[in-house]
Amino acid sequence: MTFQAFSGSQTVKNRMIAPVRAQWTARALAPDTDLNWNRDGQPDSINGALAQTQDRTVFEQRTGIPADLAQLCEHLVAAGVRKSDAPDTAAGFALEGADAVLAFGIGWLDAIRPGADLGMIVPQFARHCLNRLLEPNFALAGHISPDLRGAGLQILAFWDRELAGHTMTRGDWRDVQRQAMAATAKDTDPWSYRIATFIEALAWPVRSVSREFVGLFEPFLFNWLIYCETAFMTDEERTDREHLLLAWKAMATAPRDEGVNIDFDPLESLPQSARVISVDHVMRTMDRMIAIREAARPRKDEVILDLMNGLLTLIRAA
Amino acid sequence: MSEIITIVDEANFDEEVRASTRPVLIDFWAPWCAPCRALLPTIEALAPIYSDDLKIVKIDIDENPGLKAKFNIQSIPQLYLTKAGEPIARLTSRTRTQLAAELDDFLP
Repeated sequence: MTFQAFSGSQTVKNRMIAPVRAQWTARALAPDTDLNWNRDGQPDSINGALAQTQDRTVFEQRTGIPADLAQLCEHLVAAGVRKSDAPDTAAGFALEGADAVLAFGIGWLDAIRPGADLGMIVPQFARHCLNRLLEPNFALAGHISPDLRGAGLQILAFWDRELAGHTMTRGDWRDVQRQAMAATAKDTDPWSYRIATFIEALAWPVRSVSREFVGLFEPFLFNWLIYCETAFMTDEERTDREHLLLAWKAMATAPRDEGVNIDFDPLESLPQSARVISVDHVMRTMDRMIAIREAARPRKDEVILDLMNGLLTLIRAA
Repeated sequence: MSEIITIVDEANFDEEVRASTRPVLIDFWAPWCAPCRALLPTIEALAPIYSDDLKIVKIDIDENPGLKAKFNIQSIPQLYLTKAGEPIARLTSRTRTQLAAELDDFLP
């Protein structure tokens, strides 16, 4: 499928972006991965307002921009801002975030050349992310097992061959998928569960990952951002965070029946995880966690801005 | 890509599912269900890979209470692999890689 941004017209681009820019500047839009437009009780999102629709197909028809890309860009904004209730304001909510993060809300749209085909931006960004997480200086590099890294490097090599015009067979991919699943299954590092899931889910031809990418990227980015907080924690808090991650993994991976019920307590064998996920612990440490989150904000912004800049580079080059 | 996933209801279930010569993967969902919407891209990505061996359909449980009862659907999303309209497996994976591995165990 080919795309032609803003029907190739600067006039169309200006006409579509101008009202959104005004609303965004007034902080009357709430960034969201979903296309929110005229939903009951929910503020409009940037992309919902841009195309005035909740429908992905309609969005693409009206803007000439892949919905996957729009949702990815808006997700990055959402990950970098804090939204709070503000009943006294016209919008009913307030947004707070670094100026550069907020600027990306419209900045990525401004960067689009009318007529550009942006259909390959998300696959290219997927390659950018996978390459980034496999670099030795990646924040979580120490938590990626050699087997998982091997699977990731194999996926990256296949993607590069694919992008150079070669076709990989289903058998080639099956091998790397098995490699990734085996690496994920034997991984026990609390920090690597979401990274492993991300790598494993990406073990497909790069052109085919676009539609799924935002859903896979969200938990990976969340994991990366909460890791930034560990620099501001005591040793005990860091250990508790690891127990919390193990609790989330145990809950997420426990076998469930048709009613999504778990017929045993997945935390029974993880008493420390049960402790840190308890209401008592969460309430007792809440103020401290809020302080840590605030202290880590500049580091998180750095991560988000780096990803935003990567996207802007790809968009400008299209 | 949604057109490669057939929408099935109580009126066309026999024709589209029971009479299918290929096994049928049924995605039970509802429009209000966020996890169902999150799973849809994965199902859509699977469809072209298995187009020769498998038919993929989706059933809105709110509009098809009879089918919801027939398959004893208590929560969504639920994925059932069926043959001649009868369930042969409930698939519990939620990534394309793991779902493909589950399907490969059942398909020729």
